[in-house]
Amino acid sequence: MARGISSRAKRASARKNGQLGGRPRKADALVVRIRNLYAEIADKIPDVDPGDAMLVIERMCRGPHDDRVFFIFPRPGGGYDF
Amino acid sequence: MISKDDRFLSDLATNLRRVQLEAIVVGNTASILNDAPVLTQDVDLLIRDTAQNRKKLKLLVAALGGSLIPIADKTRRIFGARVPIDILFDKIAGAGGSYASIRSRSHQEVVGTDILTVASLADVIKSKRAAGRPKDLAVLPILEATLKIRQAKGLP
Repeated sequence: MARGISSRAKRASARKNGQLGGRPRKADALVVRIRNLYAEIADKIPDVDPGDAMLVIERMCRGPHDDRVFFIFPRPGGGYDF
Repeated sequence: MISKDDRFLSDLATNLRRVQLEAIVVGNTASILNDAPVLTQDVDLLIRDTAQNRKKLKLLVAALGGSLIPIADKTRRIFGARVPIDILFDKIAGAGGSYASIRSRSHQEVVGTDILTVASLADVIKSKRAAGRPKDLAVLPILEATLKIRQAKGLP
């Protein structure tokens, strides 16, 4: 998508193609929850890397209905599947 | 949406309840259920070593459609499920005491549409440190960071 096109235009365009379009609203809500929780406890965890903290907090904000991943499966030829 | 992994754990919880086998999730599946951003290749379950539980374990294996293989004197592995399930009798390394003491610090977590009893993250960390294998030591920093964040949030 070219620069300067608004999200509304992107969504309209995607809808035209038969998709919902735009960033999922659930994803936005999750980001807000993660930021708020991090802001709440950041002072209490000065020695925890902020990147690691965000990963942990994302886990905290996800429930059993949020498509959680637990397991990896080794491939016969090397590497892993989820 | 419930993932395949959550559904698998939910089915496991349902089968445990159906055969009335009391089990505590330990190991890295417990770490994940305690919010640690890690992944694992199996499920570790801690159960009491009683004749009755060994019978119930056979029923669980049948319900899961797997087979039970001895790994060590006090460890069995169920093969044939979505991921291997290791059964530990009575103790986990270094977690300080008996099944009862680990259970006393455990809590319940929702998985899919059911509930599992999960060891505390502090107990999982103790067991990883005591096991001391490279793969256990490698995961310790992120588990310790997770514990600090949970404590900052007032969680066990």
